[in-house]
Amino acid sequence: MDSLTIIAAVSIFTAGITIAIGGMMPSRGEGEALTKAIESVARQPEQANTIIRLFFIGAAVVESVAIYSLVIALIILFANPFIHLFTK
Amino acid sequence: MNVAEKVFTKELFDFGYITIENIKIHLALTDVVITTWIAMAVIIVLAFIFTRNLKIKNPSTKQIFIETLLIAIAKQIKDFAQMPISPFFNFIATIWIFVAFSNIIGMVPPFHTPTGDISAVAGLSTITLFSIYYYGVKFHGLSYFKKFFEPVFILFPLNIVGEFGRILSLTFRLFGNMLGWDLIIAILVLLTAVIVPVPMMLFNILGDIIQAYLFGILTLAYIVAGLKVEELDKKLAYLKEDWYEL
Repeated sequence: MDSLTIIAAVSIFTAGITIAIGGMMPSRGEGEALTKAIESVARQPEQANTIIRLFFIGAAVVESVAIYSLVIALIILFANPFIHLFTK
Repeated sequence: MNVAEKVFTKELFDFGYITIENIKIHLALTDVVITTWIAMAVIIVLAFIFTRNLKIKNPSTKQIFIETLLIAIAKQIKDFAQMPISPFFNFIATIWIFVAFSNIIGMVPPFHTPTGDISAVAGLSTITLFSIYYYGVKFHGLSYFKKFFEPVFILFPLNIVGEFGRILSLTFRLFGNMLGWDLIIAILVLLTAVIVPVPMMLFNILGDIIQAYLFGILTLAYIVAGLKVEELDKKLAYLKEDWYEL
C-alpha cells in the first residue's frame, strides 16, 4: 500500500465515523427538546407561538454541532489537507 | 457526471495570488458572485415594482401581498424583541428576504446556491457581527464594550474568542445546511434519474425558508441580547408603531 491509498482509506473511514457520531448525538438531543416542546404546547396552547419559536432557535443551536461534523466530513472528503503532500 | 463539480462553486476568472507577509490569498471571480448580483438585482426590481401605485382605498393585489409579508415580518420581530422595532426592522427584514431569496435561487438550474459558498455566508455573518456592535454603541454608547470585561476582566480574551465563535457558528450553520441539501439532491439525481429527487427538492424549499428565518432570528437574538430592553422600551416609546398591529 502506498501513502495515497492509506490516506484515501483513512479519510473515507473517518468521514463516515464523523458524520455518524456527529449526527447521532445532536439528533437525540433535538428529539428530546422536541418532546418537551410538544408537551409544553399541549399544556399551554395559548403560549404555542413563543414555545415553537424558542424550540426553533434552540434546535438550530443544537444542530450546529451536527453541521460542524458535516463540514468536517466534507473537508475530509473534498478538500483533504494532506493529499497534496503525495500527489504531483 | 461528478457530484462535486455540480455542487461546489466554479471559478469563472482567476486573478492570481497576492502575498501579504507570508499569507497567500487566492483572488478569483466565482459564479456565486454573479448569482448574488442577479439575486440583488431581482430583489431591487421586485421592490421597485411592488411599491408603485400604493393606495389606501382599493389596494391592488400586489400591494396586499407585500403588506402581508412585511406585517408578518414585523410581528415576528416585535414578538421576539419586546421593544420598538423601527431601529432594526429594515436590517432584519432585508436579511430575511435576501437570504431566503438566495437560498431558493439555487433551485433554478444554471445557478449554484450562493449561500452554499462559505465566502458569501462568512461575509453575511461578518455584517451581522458588526451590526451587533453598531446597535450596542447606538443605544448605550461606548459603555457597551464593558460587557467584554464581565464578569471579571481576566476573561477578556475568552469573550473575544466567543465573539468569533458567533461568526463561526452562524457561517457554518447556513453554509453546511445549504451545501448538505445540495449534495443530497445531487447524489439522488445521480442515482435515480427522475421521480425520487422531487420530494427532496420540495423539502429543500422548506429547509431554505427555515434556515433563512433562523439566520435572521439569531442575528436579532444577538443584537437584542446586548441591549437593555426594558430601559429602551420606555426610552423609545415616542416611536408610535401601530402600522403592523391590525
